[in-house]
Amino acid sequence: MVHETLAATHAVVTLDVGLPGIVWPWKVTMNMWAKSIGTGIIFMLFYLLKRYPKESGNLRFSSTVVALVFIHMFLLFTLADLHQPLRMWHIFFYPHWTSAITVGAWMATLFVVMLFGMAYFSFVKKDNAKFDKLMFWTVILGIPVTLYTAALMSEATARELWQMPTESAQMMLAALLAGSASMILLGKKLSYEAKSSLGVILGLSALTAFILYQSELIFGPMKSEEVIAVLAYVKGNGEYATMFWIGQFVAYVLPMLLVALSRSGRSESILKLAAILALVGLWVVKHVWLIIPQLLPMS
Amino acid sequence: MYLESRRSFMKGAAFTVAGAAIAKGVFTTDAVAESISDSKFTNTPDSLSFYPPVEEWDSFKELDGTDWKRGGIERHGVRSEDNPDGIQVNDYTIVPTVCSNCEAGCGLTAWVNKDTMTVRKYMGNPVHTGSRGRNCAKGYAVTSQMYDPDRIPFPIKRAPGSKRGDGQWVRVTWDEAMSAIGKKMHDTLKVGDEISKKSIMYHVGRPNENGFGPRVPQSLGIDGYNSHTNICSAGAREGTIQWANDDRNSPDWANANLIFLQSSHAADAGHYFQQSAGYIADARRRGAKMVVIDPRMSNSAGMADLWIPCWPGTEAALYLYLVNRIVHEKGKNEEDLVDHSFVKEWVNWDRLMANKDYLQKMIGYGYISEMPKDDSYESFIELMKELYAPYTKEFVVRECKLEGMEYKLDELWDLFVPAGSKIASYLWRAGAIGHRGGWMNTRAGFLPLALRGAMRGDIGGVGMHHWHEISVAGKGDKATVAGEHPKKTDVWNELAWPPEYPISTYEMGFMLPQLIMDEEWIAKWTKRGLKIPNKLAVYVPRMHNPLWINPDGFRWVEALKREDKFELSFNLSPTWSETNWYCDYVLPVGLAGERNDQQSTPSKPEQRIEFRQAVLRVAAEKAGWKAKNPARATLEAHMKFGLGEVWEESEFWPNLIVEYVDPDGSLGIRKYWASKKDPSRAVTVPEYFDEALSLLPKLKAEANKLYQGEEFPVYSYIRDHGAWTEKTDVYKPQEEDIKFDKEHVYAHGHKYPLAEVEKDEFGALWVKDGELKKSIGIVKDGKILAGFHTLSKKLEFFSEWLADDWKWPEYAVPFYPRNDREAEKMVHLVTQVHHKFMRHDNEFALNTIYRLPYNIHTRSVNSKHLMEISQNHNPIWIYTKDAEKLGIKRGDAVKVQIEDTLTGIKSGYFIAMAVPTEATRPGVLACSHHAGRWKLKDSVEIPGFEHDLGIMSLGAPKYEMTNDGKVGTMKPTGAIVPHHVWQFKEYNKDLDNIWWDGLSGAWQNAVAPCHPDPIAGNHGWHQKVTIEKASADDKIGDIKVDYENNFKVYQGWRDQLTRPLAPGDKWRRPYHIKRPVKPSQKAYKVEIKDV
Amino acid sequence: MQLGFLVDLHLCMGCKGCEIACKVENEVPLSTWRLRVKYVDVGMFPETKRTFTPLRCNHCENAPCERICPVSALHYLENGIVNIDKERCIGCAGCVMACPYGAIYIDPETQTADKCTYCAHRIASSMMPACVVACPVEANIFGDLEDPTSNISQYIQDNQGDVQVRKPEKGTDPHHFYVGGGNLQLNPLASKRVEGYSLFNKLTTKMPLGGHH
Ligand SMILES: Nc1nc2c(c(=O)[nH]1)N[C@H]1C(S)=C(S)[C@@H](COP(=O)(O)OP(=O)(O)OC[C@H]3O[C@@H](n4cnc5c(=O)[nH]c(N)nc54)[C@H](O)[C@@H]3O)O[C@H]1N2
Ligand SMILES: Nc1nc2c(c(=O)[nH]1)N[C@H]1C(S)=C(S)[C@@H](COP(=O)(O)OP(=O)(O)OC[C@H]3O[C@@H](n4cnc5c(=O)[nH]c(N)nc54)[C@H](O)[C@@H]3O)O[C@H]1N2
Ligand code: SF4
Ligand code: SF4
Ligand code: SF4
Ligand code: SF4
Ligand code: SF4
Ligand SMILES: [Mo]
Repeated sequence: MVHETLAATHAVVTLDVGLPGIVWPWKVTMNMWAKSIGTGIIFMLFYLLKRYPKESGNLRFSSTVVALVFIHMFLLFTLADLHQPLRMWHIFFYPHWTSAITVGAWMATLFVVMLFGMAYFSFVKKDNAKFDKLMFWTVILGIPVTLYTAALMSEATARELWQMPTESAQMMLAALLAGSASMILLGKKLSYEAKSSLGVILGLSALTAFILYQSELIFGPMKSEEVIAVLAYVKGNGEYATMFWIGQFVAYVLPMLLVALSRSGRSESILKLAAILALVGLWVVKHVWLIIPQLLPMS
Repeated sequence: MYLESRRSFMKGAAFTVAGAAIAKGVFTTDAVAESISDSKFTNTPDSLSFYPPVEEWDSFKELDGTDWKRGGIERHGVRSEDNPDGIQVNDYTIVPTVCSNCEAGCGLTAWVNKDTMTVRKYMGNPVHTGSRGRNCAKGYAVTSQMYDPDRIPFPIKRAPGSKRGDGQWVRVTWDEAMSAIGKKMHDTLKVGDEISKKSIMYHVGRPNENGFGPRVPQSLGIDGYNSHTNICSAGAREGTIQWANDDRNSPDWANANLIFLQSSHAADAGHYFQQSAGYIADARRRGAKMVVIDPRMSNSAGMADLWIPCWPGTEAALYLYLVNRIVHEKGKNEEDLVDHSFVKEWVNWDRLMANKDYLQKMIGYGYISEMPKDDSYESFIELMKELYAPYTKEFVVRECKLEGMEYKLDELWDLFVPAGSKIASYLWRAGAIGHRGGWMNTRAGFLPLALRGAMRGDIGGVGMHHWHEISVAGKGDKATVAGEHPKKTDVWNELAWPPEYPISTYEMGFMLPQLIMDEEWIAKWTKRGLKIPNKLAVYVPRMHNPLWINPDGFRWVEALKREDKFELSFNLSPTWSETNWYCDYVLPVGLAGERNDQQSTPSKPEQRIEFRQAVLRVAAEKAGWKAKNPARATLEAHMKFGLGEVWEESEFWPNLIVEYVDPDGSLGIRKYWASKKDPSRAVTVPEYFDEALSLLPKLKAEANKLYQGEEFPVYSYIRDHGAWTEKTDVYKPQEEDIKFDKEHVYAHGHKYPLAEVEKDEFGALWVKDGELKKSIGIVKDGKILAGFHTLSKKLEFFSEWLADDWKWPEYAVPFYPRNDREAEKMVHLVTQVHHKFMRHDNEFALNTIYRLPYNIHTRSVNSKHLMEISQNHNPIWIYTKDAEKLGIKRGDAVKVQIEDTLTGIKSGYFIAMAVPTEATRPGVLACSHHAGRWKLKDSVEIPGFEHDLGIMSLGAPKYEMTNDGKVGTMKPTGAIVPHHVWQFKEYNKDLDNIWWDGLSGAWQNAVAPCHPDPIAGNHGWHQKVTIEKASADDKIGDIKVDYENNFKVYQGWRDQLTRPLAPGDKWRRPYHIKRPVKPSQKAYKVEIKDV
Repeated sequence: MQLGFLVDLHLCMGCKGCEIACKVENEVPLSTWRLRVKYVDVGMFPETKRTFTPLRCNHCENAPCERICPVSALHYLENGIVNIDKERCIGCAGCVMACPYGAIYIDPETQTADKCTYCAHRIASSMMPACVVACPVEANIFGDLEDPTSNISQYIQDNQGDVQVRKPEKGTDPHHFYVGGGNLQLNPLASKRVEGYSLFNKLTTKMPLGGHH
């Protein structure tokens, strides 16, 4: 591959124009991170209401509010990242349906409307049955809302790293990780069992995500030279290697260990720590993965 | 018909885009669709043109590129009354003019928006047969130069009471300035003695016009023309003069088989740059090969078939090696490689063989061992064999330092021979200007080409410059009251033509400060009977920034500040420059699209002129606007249409002279510039150029046909077309017959009575020329042929005049020292940066000569578009392994110390950034000269004017300067901060995006001592340098110069190396060789007293 | 009609005439580029060479930028040009992320995406793109790919086997071809790109995107 021949050809760029740096910055990380929490917590609520209906009933309202807050955070950062935020309405008036951005925006909007509906049912109407019915559809919609970012990233044809089905799995796992972690922190009154089952979800999604990232690190380079070059930023002395490993440890490895530890000691505070680390680490992981393909010269 | 005319307009002007017309899409009948169908615009046109046909230039409509960004006509339609939201349509007047950023003079067209009377863009001019409608980056950048936010908007004058260099300026009107300047000139000229005729100096950089400038000093009766040529190309000119008595050669790139470059014409610079590059590309497309000889990998070298990185200044050895092989070896079919038919007929071997004295001398020099057996051509070839036998491969490898690259010499040979006589070259700067003895580089370089028949001026070979050039800009005489050309002056100005350099090519302009400040030197020659002025009454740089672009800049600063040496100075410059800072007046004249002058660039074997004109004036006049004073139309137009009080030479000088220098005609000058039509005022542009251009018979005929009945038909033609090709396929004019009958010979526009024509033993025809003789043709087979421009009418392998009359006999044939002993003795031919002077790892030759394709000396500094692509444009290139040895890494600041190898004197240093690269040869650094521009203030306040005037704020950082008459220093103190934009705002909206700091280059020229070659007079640009890593307090851009030392270097070169005029010498300079503005024979005569 | 571009890299000499012509024609603000010419030095002394590669939008037939644009600011014209509408654009930079060739940028003046339009306004005025007109060596060939008699179609036919596009593996189907070049010029990974100072300029990938991010 070219990288090996570089030493032989001694090809050096000696004149070019200044090129733009990072196109999608930390705001997009915030966007993905907040969305993971926003959708993930609804998934978890759904799970808890199925498994532990009694003790989780009073989480309906608070979870919905947390979801709303984070989904709004997601929308806010999406908007903030636009260079023309005031034109956001164009998406609704001139929608272009091949664009994952368009589809995502419509779905996210619908998602928000449904969350408001849920809030309405739980707070104003205090009607749990209607709430649960609506929640079911919200959860169903939550899945594509979670996944569309992966679709969007794979529509970013330029970034070979994201052109993989694993990206969808990672989005889902991020939602589960963030959802379970948030719920652990939110559901103070939950029984230890409920919490520990959330801990299991947390631990398993961390484990799976970790394995996926590690296999991409190992097997990704077989895909293309572009991926090799991108992954070089997180390998060895790569510019983002430290950050990458911090992310992997804080988001995945430590929470996994802590979850295991908490199980043996039935410690809720260790579980909480795992949850906090997972949430913080997830941001770092997402950020590294967002940035590194953007460091590569495209032309 | 519309399509037809476009298609036939120019070759390939319109390629068919769609075979069959495609249905125009299905529109609903709304306003948008209608606005399109009602217009000429469509997304699926039938053809695409490069340019609209000339007939449409007065009104051409095009959609606006910026407005299109709203989505184009599909979304908005075309703007019309019914569809105001449509995409904007610009109605243009397309006015031809000529680029002036380099001497190529490519055609330009200004696309003047009729509604705003602004130039939206400059593109090429397809009528210009040299540039063919194309331009390089610098051509397109004319727009950003025109709307440079820091342009000087009106004449300014040094504030009363301030000193030169204080940077205090006041606004004056043109008439105030002209009145003061005119008075000073009047008072000076009124004296009328010899000194007064040497006291006004007009000093041009690259003038980009063909004759108007020289007419000015000539009309004043002075010897006052000075130029920049000796820092540009003196070496090349010297060699070419010795060969052909022509200023330079003129290749037929397009038809060559081998492009043989010791320049950068294919991709970087070189004379007539983008035109040359275009023709070279045509040749390469056909399969021609390209060789580049350059110590640095220029863009041209980088794309060549063969790059030979000779040690700089040793190329002559390489060329003579080719000669050795050509005379000794045979071709594939055992044929001789020498083109005998050409050499025998057109090289002056016969004079050499007949000059026994000289042959004897050659034996004395060790060039040959014995007298040739007879005078025959065959014996000449034998002589050549002996003379050039020592230039073996081993010799070249050693001398040019090509160890490990021997194979490149074989490759060169393998490209050279099969090309036959179709080898095109343009020997110009490179080795010829960089070095002591650089001129021999050209002398030797043309020899292999001559031997192969490539110098015949035939298809694909090398012709001569003046064959392909037309100079009439100085000849609008008939439009003036005088009706004739001003007379030659009888004086000789030693400040431009000092007695040490009688055959320099040309004026020693770059050492004006040295000359004028050297009282000792003035006294020495005064004692010997010369009358040398020790000051100038009026000094006028024009299109020139002598202070910055010449060596030893601090000496210039010192000199220009001296009010006793330069009593009054004014710079004719549209933009800020370092030179401005030290002048009394800065008079803003026009840039490319604001001037009026004729240029002619010999970029191919044809004769063509181009006409540069003030486009806003022309556009306005076409729209019906009329100037109040026709002799000041350009100034009035520029003021009226928002450019500022920008004027131009073509009107300024006539007005200055007619109204202020000689208002009553008492000096006898007025008549040369007063209009014949209305003697009360100066001649106008149409009047003058109509007459000047009428000297071209074919143009005159065509113009009279097209513009029948108009007052100025020829002017009108050129106004509307911008260029004219008088003659194509100008090949081998030396072989053309000269007419003669029983009574007369008709040569060069003269008629010589047969009785007065004398034929010499070699067939040359001579006539009397004052006290001298000149040759007018050569007899061959019963015909008189024009011959070359030399005295012998042949190419002069043997420069007889150099040998017999001008003191350099040992160098009268192409030669290069063959061993150390010769190198010692023939120091004049050995470069000051020869590798023998480099004794340590940190000693290098510094190549200070090369251009970037998108920079122009000091003209590009405030073009935002050119600056943006020129960051870090003069780092120090250093070969990777050299850098490694010295521990120098990319981006390191290095201290570069200059040392003279003749005198051993050190000059000082500059700090630059090192970039290790595989693109320069071992032992040779390279540093271009475009960066390192400076200013001492960010802006100047003009009392009474509401805005400060920004100074080069897009490209030059601010510096601190110290100088005490001995040592000078510069230190950058700021980065690039665009000045508040108050003019041309619309064009400069994006200045807040400037991202460069301009801190990557140093003013290296200021450190270099001035060291003129003793023969050609060129400043040898290359320097021996010692480098080391800079210390912590050294910043890139810093310089420190001991210019007292530099003065000693200059004196050393002048006194140790030249062979000055001496008692017994009768002439100042060979009369037959060129002097740009020639005085009378009387002025040429000299008597040096023996003291 | 499908308009296309071809650059003969054997002829391009890196003069940047096209670059500046484009800037002027389309008022492309400082710090951004619709077209740029990249220099790559190859090999070791004395066998060093320099290559020049003009890079602009490829007007892909299967354009990821057009696909990702949520509001159809990027859209096809019937002549094959991928056109852009700054009034429609919301500045999401999706297209910048999607274009595999780095051909799109955010215009700092308008804060919307912009790129080469093949000078669609000139085309609609029956004129060649500005950069085609500029080129001193006629390295730029432009015309209709659907018309076998067009200059560009013939050029492609005459140089069969030597016609390349950038990153064919991306499946974008560029309407922009190169002749006389190779991996070195067309593959960004085939050359080293050192940050900071290079022979001719200051090369940095730390340029602000669209000015105000
Ligand atoms: N872009 C651009 N073009 C220009 C100009 C401009 O300012 N910018 N200026 C115009 C003017 S005024 C002129 S005079 C011409 C000059 O144009 P050229 O005659 O081409 O001269 P340079 O560019 O100075 O140098 C040409 C090459 O010579 C190499 N060189 C330097 N020293 C030596 C040496 O000792 N031996 C050899 N063999 N090579 C050497 C340099 O590395 C460089 O690549 O360009 C004109 N064209
Ligand atoms: N180290 C180094 N130094 C060099 C060279 C080199 O290769 N290396 N090259 C040398 C060569 S070959 C040359 S020719 C010289 C060039 O030296 P110059 O001819 O002095 O330089 P320019 O930058 O072309 O123009 C000088 C000034 O003209 C003014 N000007 C610009 N446009 C116009 C116009 O349209 N009209 C008028 N009236 N004035 C205008 C501006 O003030 C500008 O600063 O530089 C020489 N200096
Ligand atoms: S080659 Fe010279 S004259 Fe021609 S466009 Fe370029 S700068 Fe202008
Ligand atoms: S090159 Fe990039 S910007 Fe151009 S059409 Fe293709 S994807 Fe879009
Ligand atoms: S930045 Fe503009 S053009 Fe690009 S995808 Fe977003 S809306 Fe479309
Ligand atoms: S076609 Fe037009 S917009 Fe595209 S690069 Fe060329 S000049 Fe620029
Ligand atoms: S104008 Fe032509 S030669 Fe110059 S850089 Fe552009 S494509 Fe290359
Ligand atoms: Mo020059």
